[in-house]
Amino acid sequence: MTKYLIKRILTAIFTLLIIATVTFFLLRAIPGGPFTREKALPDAIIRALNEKYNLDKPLFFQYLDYIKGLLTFNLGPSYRILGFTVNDIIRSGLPTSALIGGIASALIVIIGIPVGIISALKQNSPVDYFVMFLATLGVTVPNFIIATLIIYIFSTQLGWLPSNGISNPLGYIGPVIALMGYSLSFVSRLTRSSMLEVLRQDYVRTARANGISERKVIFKHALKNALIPVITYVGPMVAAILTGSFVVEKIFAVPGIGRYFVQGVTNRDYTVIMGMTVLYSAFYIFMILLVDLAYSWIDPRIRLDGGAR
Amino acid sequence: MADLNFKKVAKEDKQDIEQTRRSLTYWQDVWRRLKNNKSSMVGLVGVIFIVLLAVVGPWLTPYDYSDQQSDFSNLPPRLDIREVGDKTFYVTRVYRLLELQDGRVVDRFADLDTNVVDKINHHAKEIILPINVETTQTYALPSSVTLGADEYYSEKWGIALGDTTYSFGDDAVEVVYIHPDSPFQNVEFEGSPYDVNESGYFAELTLVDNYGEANAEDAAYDFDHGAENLITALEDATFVEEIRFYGEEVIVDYSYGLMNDNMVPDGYEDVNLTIEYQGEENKYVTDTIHNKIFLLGSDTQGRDILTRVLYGARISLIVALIATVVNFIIGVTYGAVAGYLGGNWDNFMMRVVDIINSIPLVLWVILLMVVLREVVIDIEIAGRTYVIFRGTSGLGTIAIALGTVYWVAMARLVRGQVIGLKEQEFVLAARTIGVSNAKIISRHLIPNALGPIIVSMAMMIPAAVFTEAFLSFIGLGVSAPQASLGTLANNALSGFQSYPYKLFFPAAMIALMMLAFNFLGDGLRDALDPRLRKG
Repeated sequence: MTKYLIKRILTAIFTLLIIATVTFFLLRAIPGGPFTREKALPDAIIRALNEKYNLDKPLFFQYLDYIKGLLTFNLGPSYRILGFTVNDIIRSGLPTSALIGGIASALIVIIGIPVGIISALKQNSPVDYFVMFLATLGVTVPNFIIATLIIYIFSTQLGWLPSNGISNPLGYIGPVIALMGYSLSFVSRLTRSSMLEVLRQDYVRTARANGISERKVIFKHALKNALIPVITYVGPMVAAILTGSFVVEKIFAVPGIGRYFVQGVTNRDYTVIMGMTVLYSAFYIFMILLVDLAYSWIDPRIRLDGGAR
Repeated sequence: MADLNFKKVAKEDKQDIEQTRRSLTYWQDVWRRLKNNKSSMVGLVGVIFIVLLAVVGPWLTPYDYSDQQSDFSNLPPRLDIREVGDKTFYVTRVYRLLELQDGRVVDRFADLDTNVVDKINHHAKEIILPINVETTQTYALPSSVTLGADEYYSEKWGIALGDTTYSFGDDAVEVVYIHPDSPFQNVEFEGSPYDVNESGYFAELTLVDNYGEANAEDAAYDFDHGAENLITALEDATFVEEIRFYGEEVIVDYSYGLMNDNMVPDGYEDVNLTIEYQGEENKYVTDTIHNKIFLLGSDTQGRDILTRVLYGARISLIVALIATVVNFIIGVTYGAVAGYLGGNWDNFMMRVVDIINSIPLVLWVILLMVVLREVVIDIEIAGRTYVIFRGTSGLGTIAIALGTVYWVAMARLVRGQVIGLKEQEFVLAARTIGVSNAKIISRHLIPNALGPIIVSMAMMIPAAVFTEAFLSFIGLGVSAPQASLGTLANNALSGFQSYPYKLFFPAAMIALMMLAFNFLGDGLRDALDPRLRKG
């Protein structure tokens, strides 16, 4: 187990290094630098700026500097938001994004899984049809449309929620719902279908034949196996949600981290783009690792060290 | 001895007993299963319908997707008309008077002349400017701003304007703001998000969003007495417009809707504007009719939304299709080669897939888009430069970005299939008669794995539509004047409060596409691979 963990962590670091490297060189392949403006800056200023940010050094040395910075968790200064380092930006944006994302993720799990189970147990009943109708709708409507509708209905028409910002606790409701939409639908659909599949299996029939109470059959025997595909999805989803959805933060004017990434992309703020990519990837990889560990906890048949997956 | 009188049985009778049934090929069986599945048939019909609309639709409408008729901008699909005398008028939200006949615009009149409204709009839009324009920079703006009060009030219009200085770090910023109760806030703020702070005033949204860089032109505005000047101008202003046409006079009075409540004369409390024509005065909307020039309305530049939505659907479908094909080519080749070669090759290739799989793909697409849009690859041969690849923000780039990122799942799936198939006898047979490896993969292995591949491709299309809409939404999509559904939705967002129909139709189209393709994909999965069938 420890050996497996160490191996996985080393692989994760290696993967991150590859991601950082590729991102670095990809961004440097773009013609024009962060100081290219529509109104050209004087040469002297560009030279001074390049010197200040070490952009005049050979590319390889810049790369080494960057990796060195990464290893000490220093992601460098932002080229566009003056006086801010990427660390500052993450520090200012991440808590908000993580809070909204955390609430959304928790609600997805708390609502999505039970709804999926109920829907599976009452297959082909009105409840099931209603849930599946909502879930299908949720998967097909993009979150920016959900977000806009929330603002339109609850902020503009009814005036119940603030239309932007999170200075008021009510302001969290909109972003959280918009973030949840797709994943909540997906999780309940996934739970339902995998639950149905498990319930058809022989061991469940055996358990029932042995006279075990229905509650025990479902929660003790069926649910654990049914949750495996759900966990596979939920892990990376949490990473995606916690690090902020660009769209939702843009629409609700939430001062989170996703906004900075989009700004960085449009401003060609290299360090911000790279910083966000690395942060996001690290989180994503971490969640995948957690998922793999959760597998063996839920289903001891899945052995982590060696063995076929 | 019994007379054994055997008789020959007719051929038809014999067959009847044998109960033969025409044997079905795999694909016939798939079609039979698909036909029996109601939701997938709905999906199939929907997909065919949408594809037809996207392919043929843009040619059937009388406009081109880039045709601009700026006189007729922002017309909703249903028009609130006012009938006065023998004429029918429509007043747009930006105070433009149009004459209608049978739902078509026959004449247009000049915009409101003494345009104080415009003046306010102009300043409201450019409220926030760094004073020191020489050092242009982007501000990381706070979510709310506390404003001091130094305000001017016009009783007649019930509007309060204020000047104040706010400092962002080292830079002082002059802000003009408008009281939230003022009628003018509805005039062309385009529904962008604005921020109301504790004292109940709002500063323009650019504040919240990131104003970007100011240019010298903006700085020309006299900040010192901005609010005072505006109020003085307002006190003198009337919002009456007199138009003459065909020798007759139309008088439009916009004042009532803008006035402060206690200044409105009796009988005009809920009147927005009046139109006087041929001695008759109209106070209210008399009827609501369909817009016959633009069935689904027009956008900010006076382009037909119906045409734009159909054309956007075409762009979205093309992007999804190319992305799926690219994804198919890379994924299937990679997976089949890895699976067929096996051993160390397989190990290495699958480790690469593992690494790619642990990268958040949406992020990767964004990065690729950023790079691909601008990169130019060229080679120099004998002093001349040949451009191999020139990045654009067109269709191709986005399709390539999507296709080259999402092949991983496909590769895994094909590898799994190939590993199972390659041990079977028919492959051995092919190998013994000396068929080359490439041919075994392309002629024997891939066709046998086609079922799951098709399912995966069918699911890729809606995913690509979704991702493309998202990319367009954050401004990385196809470039203007082309527009995908995501671009349309994004453009509609800024004026959403005033013109919800602009968002509604592209959004509905996206949802319909997703629904149809998802239904079809689910049905195909059940039909092609019954083992994968889910509840």
